[in-house]
Amino acid sequence: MKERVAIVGIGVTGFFSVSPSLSFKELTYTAAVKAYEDAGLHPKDIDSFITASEDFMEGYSIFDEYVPDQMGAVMRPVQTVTADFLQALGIGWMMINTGRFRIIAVESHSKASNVKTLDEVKAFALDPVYIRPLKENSDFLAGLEMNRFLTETGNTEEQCAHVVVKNKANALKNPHAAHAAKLTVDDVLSSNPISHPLKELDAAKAADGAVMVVLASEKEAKALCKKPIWICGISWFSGQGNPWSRTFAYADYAQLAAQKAYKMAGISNPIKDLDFAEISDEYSYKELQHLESIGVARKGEAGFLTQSGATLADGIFPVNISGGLIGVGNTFEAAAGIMVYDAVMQLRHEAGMRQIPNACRGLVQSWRGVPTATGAVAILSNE
Amino acid sequence: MSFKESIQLNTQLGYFEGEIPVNYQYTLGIAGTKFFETLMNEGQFVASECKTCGVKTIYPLIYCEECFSAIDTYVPVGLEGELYSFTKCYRDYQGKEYQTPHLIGLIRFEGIKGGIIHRLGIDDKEVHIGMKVKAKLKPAKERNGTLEDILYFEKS
Repeated sequence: MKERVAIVGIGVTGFFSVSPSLSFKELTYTAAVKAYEDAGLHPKDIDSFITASEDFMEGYSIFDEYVPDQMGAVMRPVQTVTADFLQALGIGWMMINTGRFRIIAVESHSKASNVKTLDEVKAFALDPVYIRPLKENSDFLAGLEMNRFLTETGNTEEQCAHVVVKNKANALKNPHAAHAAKLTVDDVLSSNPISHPLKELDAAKAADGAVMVVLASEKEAKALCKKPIWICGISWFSGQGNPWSRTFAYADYAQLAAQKAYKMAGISNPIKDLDFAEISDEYSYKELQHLESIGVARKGEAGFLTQSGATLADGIFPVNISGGLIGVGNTFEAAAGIMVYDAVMQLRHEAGMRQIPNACRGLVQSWRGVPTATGAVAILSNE
Repeated sequence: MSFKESIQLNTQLGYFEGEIPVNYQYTLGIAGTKFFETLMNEGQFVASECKTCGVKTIYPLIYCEECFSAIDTYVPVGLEGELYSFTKCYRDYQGKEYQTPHLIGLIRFEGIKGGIIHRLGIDDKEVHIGMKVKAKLKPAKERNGTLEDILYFEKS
């Protein structure tokens, strides 16, 4: 049996629609200082550092070279992964599992407000030969998937609107959230169409911010930390790469990642065995699609579950107590970092107004956004 | 905050404008060239066919996504397919709103994995998932071997 791996420190900046007073390096530095302080460590105690980022969002090619100093990682082993924060966390988990590393720092950030042509950068991710010549906004792929998902599963636009209302309301209790609001289902349904059936309020708006996690081996974690949060299962998959070959009714990447993470964590019934979940809701329907794909809801039932209040913060299975990406903000590769932060706070019983009683085990699920079919699942526990 | 100082006034906020001009020439590859040459010269779609597992794929590939066998067989696919999904787009790739929204669909072909994502020339009131559609191509003389050789898919 290998040593377990725990989160022993975590820091976030808070998330904002703009962050004009700090550079991206200063955002990261802020999160890093908090994470090291939380772990009671200095960067010299860290064996290796990982940043999750994507060049075009940063506005630099070879962005890796711009990473070390703000983490205290100059002259130290650093790697940048073009992946989502949860995948970077999985890489840190694997490094500790090799036995060669004791303590790893994992960082991600968003400075989306720096990108003056965000729609174009997103559209640049579309296939250049077979999709990009259509010159459509990249949101169209979400609209295309949503329409088929709703038609095939029987979930409804109204049920998607309930996701938005819930997540934006949850975010009202999250001091880190950029896009909290008290809305009605009608507000969402009557918001401007962006790619029918997708509407303005169905889509998470961008945000700036940074997050850092410090991981440690079991031995180190027990010595360092009163409340280590254990990574009991973590996995990621890429599904069908070409959007024209995908099945839109469910997310294969989420299904496969969940199955593997459940097996690692010994979970047979996610609703019974988990106390809450943070689910990628970059678009409202994705929360429902992901819930069905990871086995929390049966096909076509995630909407009913949401509408019935089961996924509210005080429901039988709270989903996105943080406010999700819709409430906190879409920070792209850093998006799962927000969710990991909230899950850690829940499991430490330090979530303040958002705290649910007796939280013991939670799930975090990520998706890399349009046009990808890539995502990760992690199971976190305080036991 | 982790700083000894912080910016207190909007008038002190600094920024620098930057841009990266990016231009590419994307190689179509063996299978992509086959697809677009056939479209241009014969007004047909082609799928690749894996001789190992039998899966036919559009857009064609020189390897099988299912079993990773090499593929060098292409089969013609008719211009008629079924609408797997559609969406009505209100904004272009730069985020600019259209005066008239566009209908875009994913068209699948019987017995073929994959499909084609393209514009639909179908009335809003008639469009529905599962409907039969057919590609409307540019006249042969105007085709140049790109996605734009397909004008749109219409009701068949």
